[in-house]
Amino acid sequence: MRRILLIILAVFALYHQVRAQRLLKTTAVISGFYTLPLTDMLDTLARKSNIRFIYDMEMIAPLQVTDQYHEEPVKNILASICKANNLHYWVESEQAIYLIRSTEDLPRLKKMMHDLHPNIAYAPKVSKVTSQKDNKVIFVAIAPSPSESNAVKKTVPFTISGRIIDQVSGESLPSALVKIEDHNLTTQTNSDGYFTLFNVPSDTCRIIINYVGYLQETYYLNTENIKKPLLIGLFTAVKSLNEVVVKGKKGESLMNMDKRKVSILQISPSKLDELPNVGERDILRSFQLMPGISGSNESSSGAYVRGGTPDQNLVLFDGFTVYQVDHLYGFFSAFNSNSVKDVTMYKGGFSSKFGGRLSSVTDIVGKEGNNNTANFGGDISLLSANLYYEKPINNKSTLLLAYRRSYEGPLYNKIFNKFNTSTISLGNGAPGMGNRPGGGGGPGGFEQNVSTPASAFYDLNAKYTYAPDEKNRFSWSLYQGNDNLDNSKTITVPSFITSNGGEITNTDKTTYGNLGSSFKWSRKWNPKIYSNTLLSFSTYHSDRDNSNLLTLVDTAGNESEVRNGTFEKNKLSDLSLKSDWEWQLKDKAKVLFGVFGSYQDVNYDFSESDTSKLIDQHTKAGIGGAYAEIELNPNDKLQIKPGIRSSFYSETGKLYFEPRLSGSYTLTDQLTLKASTGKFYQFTNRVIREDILSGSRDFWVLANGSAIPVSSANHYILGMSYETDNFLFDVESYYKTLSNLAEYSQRQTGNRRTGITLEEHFYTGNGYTKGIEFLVQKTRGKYTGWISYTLAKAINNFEAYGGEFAASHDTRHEFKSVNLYHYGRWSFAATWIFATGKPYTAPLSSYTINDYSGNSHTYLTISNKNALRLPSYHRLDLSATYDLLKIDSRKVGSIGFSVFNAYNRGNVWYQQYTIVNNQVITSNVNYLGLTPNITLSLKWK
Amino acid sequence: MEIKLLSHRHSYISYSLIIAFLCILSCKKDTTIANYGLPVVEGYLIPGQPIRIKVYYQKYLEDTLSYGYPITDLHLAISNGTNSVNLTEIDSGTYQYTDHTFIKENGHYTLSFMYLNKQITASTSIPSKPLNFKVSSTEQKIPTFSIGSTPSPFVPIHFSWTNTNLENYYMLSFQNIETDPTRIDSRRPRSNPNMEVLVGLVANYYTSQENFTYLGSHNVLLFHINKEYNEALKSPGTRSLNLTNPYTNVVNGLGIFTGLTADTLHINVYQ
Repeated sequence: MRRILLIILAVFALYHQVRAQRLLKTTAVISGFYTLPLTDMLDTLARKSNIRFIYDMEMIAPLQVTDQYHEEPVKNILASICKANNLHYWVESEQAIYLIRSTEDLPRLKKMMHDLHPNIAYAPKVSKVTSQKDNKVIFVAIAPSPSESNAVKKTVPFTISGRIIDQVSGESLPSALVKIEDHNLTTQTNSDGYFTLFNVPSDTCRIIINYVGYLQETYYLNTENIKKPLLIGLFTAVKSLNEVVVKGKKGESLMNMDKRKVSILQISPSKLDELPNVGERDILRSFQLMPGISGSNESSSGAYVRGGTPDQNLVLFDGFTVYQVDHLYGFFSAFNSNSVKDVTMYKGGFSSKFGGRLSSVTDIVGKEGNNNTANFGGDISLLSANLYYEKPINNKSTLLLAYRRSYEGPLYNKIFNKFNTSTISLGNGAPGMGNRPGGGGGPGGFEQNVSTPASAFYDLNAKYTYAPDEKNRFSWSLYQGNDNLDNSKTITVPSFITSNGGEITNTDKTTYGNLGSSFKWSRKWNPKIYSNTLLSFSTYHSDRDNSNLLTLVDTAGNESEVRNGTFEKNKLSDLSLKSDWEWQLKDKAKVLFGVFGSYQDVNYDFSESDTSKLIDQHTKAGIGGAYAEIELNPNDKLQIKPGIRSSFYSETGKLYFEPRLSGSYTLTDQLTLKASTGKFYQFTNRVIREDILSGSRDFWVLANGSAIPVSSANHYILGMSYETDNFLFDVESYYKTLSNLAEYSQRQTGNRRTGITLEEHFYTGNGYTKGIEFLVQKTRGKYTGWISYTLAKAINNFEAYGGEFAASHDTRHEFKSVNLYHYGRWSFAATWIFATGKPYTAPLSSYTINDYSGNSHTYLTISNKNALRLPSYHRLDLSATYDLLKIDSRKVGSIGFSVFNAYNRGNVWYQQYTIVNNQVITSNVNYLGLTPNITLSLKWK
Repeated sequence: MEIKLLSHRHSYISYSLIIAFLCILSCKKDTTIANYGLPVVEGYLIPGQPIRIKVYYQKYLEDTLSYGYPITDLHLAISNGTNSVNLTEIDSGTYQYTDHTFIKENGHYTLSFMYLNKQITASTSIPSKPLNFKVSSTEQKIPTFSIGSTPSPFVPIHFSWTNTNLENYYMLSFQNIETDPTRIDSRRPRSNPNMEVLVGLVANYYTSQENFTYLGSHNVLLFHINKEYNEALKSPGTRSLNLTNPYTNVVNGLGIFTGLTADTLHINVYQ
């Protein structure tokens, strides 16, 4: 692993030296000998290159330039001047550059510019601007304006369309907000960054574009540019810019909520490094800091959304379903944040475009890769490292590759040992462990020579995007993630037992993972119709081998093997085809519709000693259907979205209808009311094993209409949000009914002397969840963050368990506080989570009886299902991140220090009971204690 | 600067309010107490044998006792539908009725006693005697095992009996009757020389090496059992993370009260 780090550093250092100014695209060159004040030099550069320089006169005036140039590119001259005078430059747009000494200067200059001349960005021929307020002078060195249009204003309302991209990489930006300034015309870009605005009143309008983690961009319409589709590039935000307060601008917060949308959260992967982390930046884990998503499940990256379980959350990566979202027992999420562009979570009442899950949707859009220039970068932390590479193949296609894997760093032992030791102590109860190799005896009496192999995870992302023209885009995306958790032990039989030796291998190996791929064709047929057709394939597998292999060598040197144990296998394949369409009828109505079909094949088998299959399930099913949704904006204040989705499920042979409705009403500029409701069906369920350390943690099964029914849910959501310049207050309440939930359990009977059999039990029942979420978010300023409080209840009702009981993930109170503070290049974060303890079932007493033959049997009497509660969960995480900036103020990396569980709270994961000397010993298995971490992130450009 | 002050002040207020709210709400406590009042009953009724019932207390989780303390001074009665007999306490918590003719094949019996003002009852029937119990060989060889050589395979012997439509439950008990039995594997600790296998709804059984821990003469008893015996004793004991309440046929109590009938064969186990 060190090698990887060294390679990253070496390559980075090398290119740091030779790299030219990339962002600044001018090709102008200058020759001659210059000895003059810097201000004059800037004037010269401005004339030559059509660039405007914005600077603080006080700072620049005393500086001189003395140098000789021969055909020297302007960008090199600028870099050398800045270097010599300890300055940085910030490229605001292609034609405006701010000269600053520290990042703090930038907002000050911008504010002055904004206060003095709101239109200054394109105002021509202003050579000197005096700020009366600050009694300071800033100078704008101006080149002749390239197109000072004298055209006649266009006044008939017209339609514009275009695409929003990242200025540096050329990536399209989905879900960006596009607004006509001073008008109520707003739209959002679709998954490929396209937008269309109707009834634009005038060609002198300005478009304001906002996107999480990016600077707000103002684009000026004119008679020329409205004739063609617009291509607008945004720049990533610099932290210190948050001080600039512009009314109506969306915050540059880590988390964004669209106040007109119900239960939707958006997160910016580019801002994730500011949060404390255990291993590295984690997309799914950061959602756990949001209201309504449980934050006290360290052992799962999966989302427990509003009383739902992770399998009720649909996780889509570039359109295909991901069935395994965890790495390393859930301590890491399966997605490499370097390959993710945008993540949106729908907490409930979601659009009819999505289906097949009861609670929520996490929609992840992968990065396409830089289409301007090749780039690579990576992160290294104390447990894992990742590398990515992006390259434009030609001017029409790009490629992105990202790879991440764990290594045996300092965190490795801390996390893995937790599982290894636990597994050993529990292993005696596991079915396989009871089967000792015939006559071989246990290892207990030997002088042991034990070797434990390593466990690891890796994931790989690849995406190829081909855009032959402005209308069509094709992309192919691949994701593969695998975990290989190995607790195997090899015990060498000592030589005093046998002169020839031999060994006992106890294999305890779990491998699980997901392989998914999608091929997508997007087409913008015309400014009003857009389609997205996706063919995808996803497989999930989970294998557990818990067996003993005894290898013996006899006196003649012949080896013989005895194998014994249990083997568990689960495999799911999902082949899907869907086509989603958007049809913008006019500015007041938009129709979303589409068709979908998928074929799923699920196998689960549990076998013993390779020979007898105790459980052998095979289910195949097809799901097909269509949906439609209309987004109506009858007036500026009301937005209403009725929709319907219908699915045919082959296993039951029935048609399922899911009506959905959501809407919002803007009472005032600041106050919005919103509501949503709908019906949701789920056909594929994940079964969670109670005994997580002695078997596969979970496996997927398909509903069959009998033992495993098709489950359904109804959502009712009401909310309100109030937004001021700096704050967002949001309240949402929800009530969700759940029907036909399935729980599964396996009961082992018999013992090693009599043979083991497994009984399967499927229990079905209903449930409901309800709750209210409060959020106060500070969206702007040096200090940002939020506090949220959720009061919730999740109740299940299963006849088999005697009626109602608290669901295993029921959390009454949950309080979260996320605090981010920016100071220059530093950002500090502190997050604190408090949650009521989870319910659990516990033994209350024990008793022993003899069977007829006089063998004693000890039993535990058990409390009612989930009648007890673990102690409350709370945790403080801290982090400090230092940004590595280039001379042109662009961020090329960061160093992050974080402390997870800063006050070392012993949060209980679960309780474990072992019977020793007839005594039932209860021990708490805790989550991670205080865990420090360092993460270094670098990118070439 | 103004922004910062405002935000901090705002946060403090919100924090205090929310923490105060949490404090008020978190005062409620869950109370779930074990029902230690349920007595544990162990009673096996076999035709032609005296009745012996044991009654125990449950154990606290932290107890190191092998069995719960006996519950003494109870008044146990067993009724066969027409007659009711009282049991006498012959040892602490062990109650007996010596008339071995009271339990009869196919009879129906109900145990009852009062404990902590509750009526504890359990009912059972005596199954019919097993028929046609046979064995393929009365000699069972156990292969010798030593590290460094390949062990010869274990050749099972075969027991069979009549189980029409496979609707009755059976149990086999292997009982070593040597006075000083020899262990097959000397490294294993000494254990009860008798072991039983719940064979379930079958009509035959092949032995396996695990059935025998001692060499020498064995009685092999085939018991025709009730489903309740199978349910109550089939589990190897509750596992720590697989928590379910154990089966019992005792009303207001725990444990097992059941009838069994047996037939016996004899085999010799040697190495």
